[in-house]
Amino acid sequence: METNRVIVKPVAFVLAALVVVAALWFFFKPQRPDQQAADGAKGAGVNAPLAMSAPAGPPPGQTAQSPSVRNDVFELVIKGGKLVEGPVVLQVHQGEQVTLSIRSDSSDELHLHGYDLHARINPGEPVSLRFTADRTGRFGLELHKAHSELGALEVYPQ
Amino acid sequence: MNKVTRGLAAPMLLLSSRAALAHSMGVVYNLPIPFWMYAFAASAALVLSFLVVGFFVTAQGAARNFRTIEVGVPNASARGTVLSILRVLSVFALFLTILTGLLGPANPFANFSMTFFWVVFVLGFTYLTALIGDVYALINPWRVICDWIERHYPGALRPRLRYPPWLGYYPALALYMAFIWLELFGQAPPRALGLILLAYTIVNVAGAALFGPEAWFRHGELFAVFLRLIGKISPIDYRLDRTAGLRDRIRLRQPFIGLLQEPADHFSLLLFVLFMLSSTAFDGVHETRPWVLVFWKQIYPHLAGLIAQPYLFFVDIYYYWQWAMLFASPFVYLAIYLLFVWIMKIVTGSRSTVRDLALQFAFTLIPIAFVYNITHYYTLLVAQAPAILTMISDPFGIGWDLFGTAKSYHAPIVLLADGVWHTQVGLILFGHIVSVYLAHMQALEAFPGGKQGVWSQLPMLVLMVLLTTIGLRILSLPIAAGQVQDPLPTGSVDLPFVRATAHTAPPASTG
Repeated sequence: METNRVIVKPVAFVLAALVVVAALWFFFKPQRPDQQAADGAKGAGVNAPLAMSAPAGPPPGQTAQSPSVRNDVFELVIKGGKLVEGPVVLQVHQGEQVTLSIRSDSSDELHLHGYDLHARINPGEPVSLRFTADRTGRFGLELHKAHSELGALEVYPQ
Repeated sequence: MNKVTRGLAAPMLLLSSRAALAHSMGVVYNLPIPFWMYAFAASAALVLSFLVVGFFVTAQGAARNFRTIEVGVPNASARGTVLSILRVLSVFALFLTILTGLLGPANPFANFSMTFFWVVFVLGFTYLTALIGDVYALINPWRVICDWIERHYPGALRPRLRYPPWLGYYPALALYMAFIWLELFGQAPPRALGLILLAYTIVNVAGAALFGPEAWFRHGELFAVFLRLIGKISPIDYRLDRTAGLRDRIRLRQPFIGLLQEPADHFSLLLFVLFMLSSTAFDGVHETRPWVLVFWKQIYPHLAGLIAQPYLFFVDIYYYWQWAMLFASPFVYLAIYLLFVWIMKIVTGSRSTVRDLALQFAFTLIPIAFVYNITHYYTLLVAQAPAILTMISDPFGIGWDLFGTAKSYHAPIVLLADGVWHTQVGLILFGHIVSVYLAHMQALEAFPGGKQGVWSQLPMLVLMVLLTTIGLRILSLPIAAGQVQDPLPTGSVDLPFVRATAHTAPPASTG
């Protein structure tokens, strides 16, 4: 009897804890983005990742809709080793096609961390960096010679 | 080059030389957790805390039970052999780290010392200690060096001064603060790391020569103090006698219970625990957008009018501001902690002083601090630690291939953000529950008033929910990137704001 209590009570509390956590999780978890679009009212209160941390810069660049894969195009203009035009934080979702088109007034090398992509930049020659955003996370976008961080690519899970 | 950019060239250079590495440990790819997860976890922390209270309220005569199981200790000679090997390896690892730092590749990502010290030792060994207990106390390389000195020059390390009781753990705390500063702002390249570890070796031998090894390695050596606290989490407790071999014991206990077995024995140890919490919180917040803007939007505009060319001046001031905030952080946490302990004292009418109560409950904060540390750095451990397998074959970068792994290249492992978020939130909730549970166990001891003791714990519960919520909120804040918009509304020049820790050139190996 006594040993029964000793075992049953903690188990009951652990189960209660799990139920509570699961209930809260389902309560807070936003619905899928596509469902959310249909359910506009709810979308305003419960933020999908993209709206969550809006950068100070302009919103993610023009997006060209392709039938299957979303293609995000960002135009970046660099002057004197600094970003003068284009978003500081590039937010995309996993699996999307990303195109960075870069113009600079000096030659340098652009490096995207995590993806380990490099692009040589020459003054006056626009250069494009195309890749599929298959890794999630936050990856610095950096100029080698100027040693400056231009911004960051944030790839959110779908 | 026009006037403006020429004027800015100097600070830009300064920035880049300081910005050698994003973080001494490497590059973190973590995304801020989504807001809904923060909301979920904060509410879960609150509700679960009350479940723990409920558990104790319905407990009948709950007594602290520290069941420990004695484990057979292998015979003295076998144990001696194993320990001797581990001690030699430990000193060897220290010297290898110092030498590779001084002589190895200048590229921090390719240098053995950086990954071994910052990732394998500081992160990996800390988490290992939580599992297998405070093995470090037995194999501390600096302690082993002191033992060797003692053996060859008996009396060389006899205590010349009695360790003053008021000094407590302040030497370890000061070294811990210096260490975190080095981690976050030091941007020390491999050469500097080698020199720093060499200097730290001298500090430890000098400390041992001054106060005797026993006193110094208990109070002064920061990793000894840090890992002893972390080791209390572990279910394995080593009671090995350094001199005689007769009273050696290994005990098994419930995980985390070690944190209740003794109170903090000095006020400085409470500060040490609070700095464990606050330094990780500071590391989390100091590069987020809201935090960066506090300086550049709230403070800078008021002061900018005072001098000409304010940006050049305040870019430097900004660093000192960040350092000051880091060093002030444990005292801010101390003020909050003491406030809640004081409320607890009022509620219970306890005759203990606030100071005594504060010391009694200090270690119950360690689970929160520990899981917070893991959530911040475990992705780094996963991403960077495998690289050590490549480097170990050629630690000096001179073309060796000792274990045939020198040519193997491990791309950094980037975990799925979704999984990382859930792990982070899950770990934080777990640590929170453990802390609340321990605080209640401690309350039953400190206030032997049955149910009163439980309700007296509301202040501590509120404090812990507060700490956990702050931790979660920090994880969810957007990170500052690249350049911030001109903070001055009428800025005449564009003010480039390069993030304090812009990333360095990537390792050649990944190029």
